[in-house]
Amino acid sequence: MTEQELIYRLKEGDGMAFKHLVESRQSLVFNTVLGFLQSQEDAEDVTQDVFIKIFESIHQFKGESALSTWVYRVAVTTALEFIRRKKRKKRFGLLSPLFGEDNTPTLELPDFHHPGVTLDNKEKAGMLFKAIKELPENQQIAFILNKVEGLSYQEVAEIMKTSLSAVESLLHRAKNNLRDLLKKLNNLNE
Amino acid sequence: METRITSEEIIKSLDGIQRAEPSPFLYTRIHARLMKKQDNPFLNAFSFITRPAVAMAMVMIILLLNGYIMFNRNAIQNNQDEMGQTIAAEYGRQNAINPYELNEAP
Repeated sequence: MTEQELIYRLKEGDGMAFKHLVESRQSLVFNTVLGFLQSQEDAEDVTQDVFIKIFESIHQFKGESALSTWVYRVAVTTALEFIRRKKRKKRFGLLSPLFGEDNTPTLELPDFHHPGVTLDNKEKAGMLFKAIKELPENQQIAFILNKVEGLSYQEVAEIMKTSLSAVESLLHRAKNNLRDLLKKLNNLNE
Repeated sequence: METRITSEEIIKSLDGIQRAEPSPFLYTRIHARLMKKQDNPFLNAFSFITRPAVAMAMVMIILLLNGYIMFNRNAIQNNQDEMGQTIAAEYGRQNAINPYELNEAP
């Protein structure tokens, strides 16, 4: 099925086309969302939200970019919305108990370990993910898309609707900030 | 210098990272959620109302209705005032009771 055909059938509400979209793009969405949320359970839920959003708003897709670029945009936006919602809830955390309604701990979880990282790099990657969380939103997006999703600068620029030089600058600043954050987080100066 | 290398090593720890895969039942779960949504008329109505185009159209209709009612109210008010004055004038001429007339002998 060509991309044009897929888009046409999705707009027609074809269930098989939607199934094809989910199966062909699920790892792309899940991996991107996981990079932001750093929790397998949250990433599963948000991945579902992303595909439901795509199903409901496919008529808004004008075909100005590739379908995958649009899917990445929806994934990034939904993941960031989820994080903002979670932060908002945390602000009222003083009033909430240590355990949530379903008896799950509401405290900060330990270091995240991405399942795609090799065993040798597991610990270092855990520290890096902790530092990524502290980056400004735009730097976070550029870094995750480039380093976790393995996209080229050009692809990142298209997803972020910005120029190639802007992405280069964002990544440069992200790396500098990460160096500083890693020093602070792990007392690397010692 | 050593610190720099260690930070660099940490940043490079994502080199060669493999994509994480979601649960194999992802599509089934999405499908179930979509079905549940379609079965819920309240959710359907809510999602229809919250569509930007629908919401804007509703606001426009409310504003137009508001304007229409305001305009008509003024027009009715003017009409009523005029009618009231006319009636008052007519009644005043024919039926108005002059207190001085009451005391007069027939």
